[in-house]
Amino acid sequence: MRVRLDNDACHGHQMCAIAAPELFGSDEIGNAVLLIEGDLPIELEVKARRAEGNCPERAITIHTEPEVVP
Amino acid sequence: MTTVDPHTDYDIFDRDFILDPFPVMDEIRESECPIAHTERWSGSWLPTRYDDIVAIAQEHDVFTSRMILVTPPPMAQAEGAYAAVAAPPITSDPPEHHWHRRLILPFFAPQAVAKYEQGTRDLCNQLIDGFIDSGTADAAADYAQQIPVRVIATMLGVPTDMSDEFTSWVRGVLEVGLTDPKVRLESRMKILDYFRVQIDDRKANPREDDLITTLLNSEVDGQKVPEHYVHGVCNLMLIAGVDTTWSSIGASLWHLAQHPEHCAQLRADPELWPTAVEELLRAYAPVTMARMVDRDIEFQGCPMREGDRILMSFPAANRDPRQFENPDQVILDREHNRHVAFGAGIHRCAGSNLARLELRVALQTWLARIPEFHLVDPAEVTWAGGQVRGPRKCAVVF
Repeated sequence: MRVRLDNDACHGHQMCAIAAPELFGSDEIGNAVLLIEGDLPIELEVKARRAEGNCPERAITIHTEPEVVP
Repeated sequence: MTTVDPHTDYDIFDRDFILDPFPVMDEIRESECPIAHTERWSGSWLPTRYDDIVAIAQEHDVFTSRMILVTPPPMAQAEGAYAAVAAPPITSDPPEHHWHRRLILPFFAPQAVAKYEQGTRDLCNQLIDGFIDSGTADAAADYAQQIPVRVIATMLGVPTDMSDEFTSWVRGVLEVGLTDPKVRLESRMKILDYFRVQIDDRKANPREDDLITTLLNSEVDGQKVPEHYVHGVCNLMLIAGVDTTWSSIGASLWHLAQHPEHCAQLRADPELWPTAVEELLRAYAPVTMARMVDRDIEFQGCPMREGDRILMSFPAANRDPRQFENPDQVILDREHNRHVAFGAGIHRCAGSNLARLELRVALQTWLARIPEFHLVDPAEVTWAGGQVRGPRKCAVVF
């Protein structure tokens, strides 16, 4: 599982960081920063889904398909 | 509200509506037309569905922030020395909104507001010291009301012993002032006079690590920011940072007083706090913001005209069953909670991280020292409403 964060859609609610502090942090102005790029450790998958489900701007998406390497 | 049709004649200042707005919102939301309209108070639209309210918040070019209060400003506000002073960035539209907001956000990031946690906890403990031996307190007036005003004063670098004056000015603008233009203007002038003196003081005596000094020295595109911007930010921080958070703390205590099982859950499992705070923010979102329609449009079948006012009732959005399962139930471990207590889009409440810190610390400190408490008389609890809804008198015994 991988997580994508749309930085243009994020407006700094910080609800992802509350739901999954291992996965999301804050930049200088309080917008979200994705802390783990690429495949997640399996134990963080539940928290990743929780972060996705708590974002009012729908800036977080979860991807489970294998990454296509061109 | 019982005698009028809420679809065409709602009144957000009606006493029954303030006491319990949710049945009216539900009725509008579940009808064929989930966007109500009224001619009262110079007219406004009232959408009630989550998706519509979020769309309005995100479409800031159509739904502008030229007017964010539900009633028009007093005529004389546009005159005199303070005519240019607004409340940026809440009253700003792009492109200015971007730098108006960019300059203040670093003060409100989670890592920046963390330094206020211990001081807030000490303050809460001092307030509780004042009434704990009596076995009774007004959870709204003696506790909730006293907290955010002091935190904001600390942040602004102004004396906390002015708290009663600050509180009365904020109520003058947002509580009494919405339906009384004279009080609204007088209160606005008191706030702006006060911060005029503070700004002059910081110019003469710059301070280290001081918000007003830092803002005065800020530059945008190589130019110092105009003073009316700094003046406006001070105005905003006081107006937006006091009765909103106080309402949220008060409403949460009102809820907990009636739900001892929730108090027990929070005592037994401290890991519940992060979701519990978000859930209380969802269920008792205090703020309704207004927008002004920029040009004639049709929105969800409603013919909106340039200059129309539209209300974003975050309390209504947060109780929409299309978005939240069992929306009227407080579920402390609610897993998916895209609540919009702090709005959405580019105007997301700048102080949200500070507000949730204050709410969490206020509730944790209260429950640590007053684990069991209940309302003296539910019928005696009084609420303020309009654009900020929360209890103003809430006597409890323990």
